[in-house]
Amino acid sequence: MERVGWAVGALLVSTAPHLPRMPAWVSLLTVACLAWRIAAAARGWNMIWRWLRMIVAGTVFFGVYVTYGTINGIEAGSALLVVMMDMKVLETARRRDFQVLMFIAYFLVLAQLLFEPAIWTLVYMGASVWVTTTALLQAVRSGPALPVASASRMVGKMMAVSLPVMLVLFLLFPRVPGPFWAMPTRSGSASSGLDDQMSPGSINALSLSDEIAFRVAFEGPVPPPRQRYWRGPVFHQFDGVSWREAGRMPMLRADVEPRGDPVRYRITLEPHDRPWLLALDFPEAWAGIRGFMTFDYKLVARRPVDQLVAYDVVSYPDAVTDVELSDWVRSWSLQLPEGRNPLTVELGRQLREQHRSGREILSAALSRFTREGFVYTLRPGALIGAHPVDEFMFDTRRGFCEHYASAFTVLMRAAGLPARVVTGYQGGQLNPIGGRFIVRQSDAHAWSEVWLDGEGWVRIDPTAAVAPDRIELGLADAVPAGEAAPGLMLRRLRILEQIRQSWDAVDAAWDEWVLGYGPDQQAALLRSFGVGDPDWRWLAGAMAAMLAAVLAVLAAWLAWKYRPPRPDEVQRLYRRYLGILARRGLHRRPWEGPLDFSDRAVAAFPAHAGAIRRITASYVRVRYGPGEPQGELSVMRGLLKAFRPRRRPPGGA
Amino acid sequence: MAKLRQHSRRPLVWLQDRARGWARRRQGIDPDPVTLERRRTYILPTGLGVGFGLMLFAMLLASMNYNNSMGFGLTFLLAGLGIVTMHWCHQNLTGVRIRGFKAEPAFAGQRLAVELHVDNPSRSARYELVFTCARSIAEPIDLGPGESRIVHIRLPTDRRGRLPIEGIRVSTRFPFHLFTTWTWLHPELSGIVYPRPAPPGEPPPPDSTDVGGAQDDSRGEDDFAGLRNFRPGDSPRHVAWKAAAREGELLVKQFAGTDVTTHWLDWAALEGRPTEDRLAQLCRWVIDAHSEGHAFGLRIPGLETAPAIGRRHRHRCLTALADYPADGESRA
Repeated sequence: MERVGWAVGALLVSTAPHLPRMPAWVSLLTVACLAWRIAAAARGWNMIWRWLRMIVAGTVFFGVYVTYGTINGIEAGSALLVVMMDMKVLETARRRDFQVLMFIAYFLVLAQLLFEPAIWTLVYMGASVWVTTTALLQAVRSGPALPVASASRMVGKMMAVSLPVMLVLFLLFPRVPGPFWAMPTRSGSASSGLDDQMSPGSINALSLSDEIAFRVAFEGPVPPPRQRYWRGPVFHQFDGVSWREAGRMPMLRADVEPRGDPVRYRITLEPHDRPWLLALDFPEAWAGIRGFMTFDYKLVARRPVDQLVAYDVVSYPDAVTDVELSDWVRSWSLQLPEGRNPLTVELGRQLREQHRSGREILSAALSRFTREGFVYTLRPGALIGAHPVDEFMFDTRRGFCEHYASAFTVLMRAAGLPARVVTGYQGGQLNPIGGRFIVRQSDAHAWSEVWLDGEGWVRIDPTAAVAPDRIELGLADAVPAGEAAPGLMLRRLRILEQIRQSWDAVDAAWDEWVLGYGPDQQAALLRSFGVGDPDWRWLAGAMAAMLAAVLAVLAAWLAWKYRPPRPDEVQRLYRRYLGILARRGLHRRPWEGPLDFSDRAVAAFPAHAGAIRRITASYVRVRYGPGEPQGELSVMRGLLKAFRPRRRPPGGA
Repeated sequence: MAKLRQHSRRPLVWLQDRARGWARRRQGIDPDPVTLERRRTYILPTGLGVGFGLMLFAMLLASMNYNNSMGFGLTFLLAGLGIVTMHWCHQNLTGVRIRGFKAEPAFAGQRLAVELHVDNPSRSARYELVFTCARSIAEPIDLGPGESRIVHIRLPTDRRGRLPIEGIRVSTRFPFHLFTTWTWLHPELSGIVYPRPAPPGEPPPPDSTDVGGAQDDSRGEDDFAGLRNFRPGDSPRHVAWKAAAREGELLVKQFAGTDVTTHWLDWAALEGRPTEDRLAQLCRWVIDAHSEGHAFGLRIPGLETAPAIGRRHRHRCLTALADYPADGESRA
């Protein structure tokens, strides 16, 4: 019964974080199986018939396949693991079954850690390993179960002493950059981030999310807000409502002329299940990740970013790009859908006629946004017509950044200037604790790039024209006070802000030093100890040496823990008495009883006959007499304090 | 050939026997209080331990593949736990002291108990110590700090004679059965297996003669001479039940007899039967004569034991029967 109780408890702890995201039937099945097992143990029920179990097992495995459409990947895999566990629980009776169950429980913990390596899972890991290991201890035991307190204390102690081993392995185990085989990505993920298309309202939806998109550590001064444009997806294709990417063709020949001072920084990017990597305009070099630059200057990883990644980038905010525009990029950047948004297109043509240079067209268009009562708002109202840009430009005039970017780009194209929409993040917040820059989903932004003859691509942010505070201060200060989302409101409370900043700093350190610990960090750590460029052989050797040291300490500790018990008081006092005599040349022989020895001692030191006889008598009384004579010990102690026989040659008597 | 076949069928057992032989040569005969020192305790992973290792390897691969630090953390925590467990398992056995080896005699077919005292002279408890001898396993014991327990390993016997105690295996798989630590004890010990007694019924030979006084410690049955305390082996017929009820302890009537019924239990009286049958019958008679309090002497080829009574006499006679050479065996 105890065995079953422990096992079910361990399984409950291990599966708990899995169940909320599993389909309801898996959770129900799990609870039902565990409850049945407990009841069966309490009531002494028989196990279910074998063929019935087989049928149920086949059904639920098929159910997992139907639910997920695959049995591959972490989500389907952990669902499979959970139902496997359920089936195993039904037939668990022998010791071996319990052992298998506990191994499944360990795997469930691993699945959860792989799925969501947040900081709280550390607590989960500790707790479930503890309970599972205690359950294993009880399950394999041949005698009656150990008392709960002593079993869990023992396992706690074992875990505590295995921490140094874990630490050595964690730091020094040669890390091989994975993956070895294609990993199924998390499907249907709840992770938020920039989408691969943009339509009115898509960035607005992000603005309510307070989730962290990425963190930045700058080497050197933080660039001013007007340079903090983090480039994400770039859109060329417009269908009248939505913007799409023109593909991710790699840059064949970078036409970047670096100007001004470079900005060097390291980005720790949260997983967003899309391939793009964020970087300041315009990235010139990057390291620490396998990625490439597309023709429109965005960094793209080879695989969707489904786990935390960190990479270093060097950017030139003032670089000049694409002084010569290739024909195909030009044609993409001028594309407009036939017959959509006619009023805006007409306005663009008018601008083209009224002004000669590109610069003039730009400023005329921007002044139109500032003059004509446009409002920057989180609640722009839905644009439902077939010509949303027209509706926005000439009717509602209330919009969020994507409305402005979209309308402005359409206007520029209509005016004959190559233009495109760039989405990404703008701004960010410096966390004074830890000195990192934090960019959240609510910092998502969209702007335009216009190509000007002789100048290349020029970033134009029409939102800045309407709401300059958005760029300088951030979203929370740019929208009208009544509109701010609750998460944004919180930032205005000082104490909450400080708590959040502290937590962010802890979280960032966790991300960087624990989750992000990989081959690079390993090398950096070793460099800080003066080891340059170690290979895996060196690492393995160092690891083995450290482990040997840790294990020697462990063995010594265990030997100390199992040391012989302290002799009782009377024995120690008697030994002291023997020691005093031995130092003066009188040794007790192994076969000599205390009384015989005292005779010899009296003969050798007649001056101390009284003390010798009294000490021996006390010893004999306490050691061999009935009960615990009070006061004898203090008598012995007192006598011994004064017991200083003068040295005499042995055998002199 | 048969031996070879046996080996191929149970290679593990064969390997264990070989290893035990090696340990025997290495360690020699153990002294009576023997402390299980570090250098004589061996350790190997169990099947479950190998499974645990494979699980860790799978976890390591998964963590590497997903480049997941938390996965590495869990894997390494469990690996650490495994290593700690190995040391713990070893320490759970080393330092235990074992003394007082004894093998109680038994009749063939009964179980022969090997007795030993186990001390835990340390400040931490020891768990699940298993004592095995010739595939017989004693109930696992736990020992608290400083605690001592007596362990009985009951060996099956099938034929009379000496049962060599070839080695006692002390092992433990505590805490998680991932490893097993063991050592072999080779005490100077052998058990005596008396012959299987024949079924009761056949009376002893009729030549009960008065030989004039008991040979052993003058205990007879005729003249009541007083009471003494009960000793193990006394016949229940001599217990003074009334006096026992009065005094609260078992008392035995003593007689200063001069007229003791003495049986000669003679090999020759069973002429014409196979050796083992004769031994079985003699065994039965010895048991009966002892329990009825008769004095008896034993006469078998090559040995004549003078009539006497008492437990030691019974043991002497039964041992003589146990040691009687089987057919085709010459007396050593």
